[in-house]
Amino acid sequence: MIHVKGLSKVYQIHKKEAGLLASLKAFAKRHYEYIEAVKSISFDIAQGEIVGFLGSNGAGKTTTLKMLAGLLYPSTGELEVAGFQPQKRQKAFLKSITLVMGQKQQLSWDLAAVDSFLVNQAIYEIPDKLYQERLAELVEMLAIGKVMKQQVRKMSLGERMKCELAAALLHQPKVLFLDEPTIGLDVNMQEVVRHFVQNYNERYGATIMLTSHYMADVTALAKRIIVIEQGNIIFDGNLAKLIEEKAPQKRLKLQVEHPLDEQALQHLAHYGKVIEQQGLEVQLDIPRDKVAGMVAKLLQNFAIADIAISDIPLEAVMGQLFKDTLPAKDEHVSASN
Amino acid sequence: MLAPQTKKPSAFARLYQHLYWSLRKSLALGRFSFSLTLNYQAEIIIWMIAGLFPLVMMFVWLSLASEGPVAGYSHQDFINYYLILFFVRQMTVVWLVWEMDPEIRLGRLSPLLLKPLSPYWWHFANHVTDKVIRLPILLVFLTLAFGLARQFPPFEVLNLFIFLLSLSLAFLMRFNLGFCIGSLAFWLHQATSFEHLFFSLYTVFSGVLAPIDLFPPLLRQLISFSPFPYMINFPVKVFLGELSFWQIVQGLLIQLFWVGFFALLKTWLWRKGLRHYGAVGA
Repeated sequence: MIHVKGLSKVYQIHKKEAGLLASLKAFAKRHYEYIEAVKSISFDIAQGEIVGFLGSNGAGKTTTLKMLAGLLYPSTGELEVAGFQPQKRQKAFLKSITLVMGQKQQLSWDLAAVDSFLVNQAIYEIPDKLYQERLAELVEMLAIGKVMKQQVRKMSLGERMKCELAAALLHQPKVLFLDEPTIGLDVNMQEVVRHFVQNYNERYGATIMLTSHYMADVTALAKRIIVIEQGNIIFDGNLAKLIEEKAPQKRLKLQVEHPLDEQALQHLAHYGKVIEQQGLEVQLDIPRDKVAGMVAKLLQNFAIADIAISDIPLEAVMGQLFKDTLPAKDEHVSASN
Repeated sequence: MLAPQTKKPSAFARLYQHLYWSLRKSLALGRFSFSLTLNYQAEIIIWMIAGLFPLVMMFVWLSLASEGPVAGYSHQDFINYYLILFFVRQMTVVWLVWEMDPEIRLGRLSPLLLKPLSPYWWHFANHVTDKVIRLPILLVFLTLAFGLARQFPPFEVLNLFIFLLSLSLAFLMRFNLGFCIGSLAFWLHQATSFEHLFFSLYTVFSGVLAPIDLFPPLLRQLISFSPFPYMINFPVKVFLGELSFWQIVQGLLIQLFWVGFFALLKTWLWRKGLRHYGAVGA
């Protein structure tokens, strides 16, 4: 459904330093700087897949999504989405995709959301009957029956995001690019959006690529993740496998009955790595395969009130991934120079 | 060979579909943009007041003509000329660059670009709606103004139709040119400076500052090769019935030429510009 090979994007930036003198200099002679935002990346995504697209700010996520959606012209490389070359911006292509940007809106601020829906109906050439059916479905899935008749400026952020999603999906695109769809939403609303995306994927077999700062979005939705850093893909594969590889431990949260003294802590360190100790709460990382045995021993040797076992948060996994990958890549660059 | 073709809709069915959806889109955009524009009633009135400059020029020329006609233009001629000119200018106002420039530079164009309809048509709908709202206000204003002056311009039904045609062409000339200037924002930080340049030339050479008849012959000859007189002077003259049949035909053809020229130029600039999009911010 999505095919990307050797895709790059180089931005030409007009370079100017601060200050009046520098401005005058820049006026006389323009200096351009070239920034390679995406450096020859390749991947393929099959129909119906949900892929989490991760990376820190400025890593190249949004640039890549914009190229895939036909907004930005690629500098080099092959690109195919739903059988089209995005940069040609054919109507049939635009009708089969959507891009939802959490920080940009398509709904008109001064009108009701339904007004924007109706324009989309005409622009995407959706026959009346089909439009009614789809709208009813989206209204039900997102619970926006009442809200959508309000002026958009009067909506809460969460309501607006739900209406944005509805507007972006009325034409039932086969490929969805979601750029930070949950940004700024409260936990509850994040959950609603997440659930909706999952539901949409299952119902229509849509292919979805999503970026998010909230790891929970990614862990809940995507089996596969692609991690981009400084314009390069540093990981592409199974999320569970990544966690296993980069975080072969589980995290234990212990609630002890009495504060632990120095000696007890040292004792505890034999079981695993103490991450944090605060009052009666201790966090401990221990190897995955030894969890069962260790827990039994801990309960025997310490006065423990409560115990919780979880995976290491994805943030920490990503941190480890960047640490492992980036220095290696730097060497690679200097070698190739 | 035959089988797959029978599945395809006939050329007629496709044409029908195309026309049907074009109409639906126009109606939907019109309705949408009308409700949107109604939010800005007060602004429209203020914009109209900001466009009173031709009336100022009218009073300047009236005071000059108080002693007798200036180059054949009497007191009454100036009133006719400037009141009709005011109408033409108001009905051909284009503010594209002021919208396109921030849209392109700040990346607000992206949501529009995602849709299978060129942003050109969004702006077009907004401009046409604006004219629909201005029209009744202008008609009331002109009736009052002519009433106060105790004179009415010559009026003929046939002339009115030709006038409406030349007015529409004048609007299209300005709109397509405006889209060209707006597209420069793909490359420039300040496409609006080109709009200022255009506007000064337009004010002088379209007939706003002075009727073109009052210009020296050589200059008149020169600017007749530019698009400016066809944006204002020509439609006004058509309304006032001052042109011969052949002058009208020639003028309309020249207007058509400029509409087509700017249409091609804007298509070319837009296509080139999209390749640049995102290079300056966004």
